[in-house]
Amino acid sequence: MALPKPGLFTLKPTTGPIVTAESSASEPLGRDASFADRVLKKLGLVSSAADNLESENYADPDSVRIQRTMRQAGFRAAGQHNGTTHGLEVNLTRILANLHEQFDQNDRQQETQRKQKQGEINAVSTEIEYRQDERATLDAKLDGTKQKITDIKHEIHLLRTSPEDMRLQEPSRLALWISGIILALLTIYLFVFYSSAIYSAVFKSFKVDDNVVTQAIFDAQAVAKAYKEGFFELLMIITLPSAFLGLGYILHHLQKNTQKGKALKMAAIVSITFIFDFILAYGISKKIYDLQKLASFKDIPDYTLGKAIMDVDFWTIIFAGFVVYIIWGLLFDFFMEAHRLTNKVGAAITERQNQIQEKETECSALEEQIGKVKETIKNLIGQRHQLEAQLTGVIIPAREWANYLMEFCDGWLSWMTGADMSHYKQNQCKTTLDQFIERHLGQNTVLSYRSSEIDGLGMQGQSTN
Amino acid sequence: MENFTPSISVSSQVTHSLLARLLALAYVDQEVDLREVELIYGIALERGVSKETLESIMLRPHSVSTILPSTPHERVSHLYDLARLILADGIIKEEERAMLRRSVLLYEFTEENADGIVDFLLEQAQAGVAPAQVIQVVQESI
Repeated sequence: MALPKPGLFTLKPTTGPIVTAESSASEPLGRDASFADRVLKKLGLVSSAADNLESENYADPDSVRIQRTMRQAGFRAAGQHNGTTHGLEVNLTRILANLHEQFDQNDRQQETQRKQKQGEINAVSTEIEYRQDERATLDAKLDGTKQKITDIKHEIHLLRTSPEDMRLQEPSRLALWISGIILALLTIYLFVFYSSAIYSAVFKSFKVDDNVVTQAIFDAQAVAKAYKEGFFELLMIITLPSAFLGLGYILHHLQKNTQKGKALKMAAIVSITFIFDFILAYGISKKIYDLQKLASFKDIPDYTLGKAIMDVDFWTIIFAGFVVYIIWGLLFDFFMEAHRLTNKVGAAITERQNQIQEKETECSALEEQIGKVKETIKNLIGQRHQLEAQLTGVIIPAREWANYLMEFCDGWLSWMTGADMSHYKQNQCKTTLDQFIERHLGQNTVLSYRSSEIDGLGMQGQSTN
Repeated sequence: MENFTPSISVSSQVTHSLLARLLALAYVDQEVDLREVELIYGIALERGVSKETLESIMLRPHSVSTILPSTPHERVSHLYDLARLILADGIIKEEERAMLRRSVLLYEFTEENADGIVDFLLEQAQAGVAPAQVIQVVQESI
């Protein structure tokens, strides 16, 4: 084993008390010295090693150690000041100022924390602004919608009172009625005509009397006879005219249509109807002709298309049926138009009322949204206040410090007792302490002033006496 | 009257101070090696400090203020414990050496001897010499 050089392990000559770790500031042994040690040292309360060794116990928290030392310090200080209240106040002020100073030094280390908090606050502020913008937009929308509703209501009012202003023709009610009546009559006519025509063309067996076209077509007994011949025959002749009416109705709708194939479709339907009618007419006039042929003793040629065209009966049927059908269609159009026009005012009003409904639903939806945004803003503002409070409020352990001061005073008073000072004087000191505590450490434990506000002997702060 | 727990003896305080210093040394390289911790427990046991006390010191090392032993050989034994801790993981790191040197100065050895002391102690620790032997040798040299 290697031997150490002689004299390697001689100690440096030392003076003064047994050292604490003050000299090595960068020692990682508990951030150079504990808070307690710093306060005590600063206050000059660590005066002798003996004090430290006697009163220290490493399992103690800092505060208990300080308290005990405060007590001893109070005792010593009382001796120096002879127990005067003035001396007490001076000491109390000095101690409090030092406590604040130590606290502030710690406080400086919280600078980064503060900055972070500030950053958070800024983020919340931006969020708040954003939401407020959102709310403003929504408000504007709401106003716009409400304005629209008012406008529409105004329009409705105009519609009711003076439709001319709205550029709607007031349709002639008379025209409506007339066309309506004629239309109804024509419909009945068509029904009757076509049912008889079908019967005549299909079912009827022509007798000699029937060579007159009117009798050929309009068999007054068509329905009764058809019924006698069979229920379904009746059904057929009654329902078949509806085919024509259906065709007419489709025609009307096609007219309103603006599709490209409209003309073509219309032409198709018209020609189909015409062919149908043609067939009926041909059939009937042929029957008439055949009857004549039968009745005649001459030899007459068969019925041909050419003959049909020349035949007046044929054309009668065509006109009585098809043309009336066309007329019916046109009248139907007119009637629908007039009806629509009459209702235009009503329709307009209804339409506007629907619009109002829509807008009102929109309004309530917007209002709900606005409510939500307001809520969010309120929460964010609350959040910001909280953060700000955390930022500005420095929680000073006032109660703890008040305890220290009271311990100091205790020591002070015990000296006074030991020095046989009167109770009166001791009470004066006690009162001084109470006033001091109340003035500087207040009723609340959360304070936000800095040590610079303690002004030496001037004693600023709330005076609540 | 205040009631406080009975204060412990000065020697215990001195030992506590050493233990706090050992803990600080263990943390100086930002990592705690298991062997280092085990060694600290061992040293506590050697010096008659209970596990609970050691653990309470571990929880609040800041509350332990530094008290130096009175005799030089006792101080050397402290410093040798520090050296042993450095060598617990087998590697001497710069920070560890620096801390040992600071401790040597704190323990009131002379500036010019500081490096020599550090080297000597680390050598002995590396060789695994028993503390008692090191102290004996040192005492003889003074």
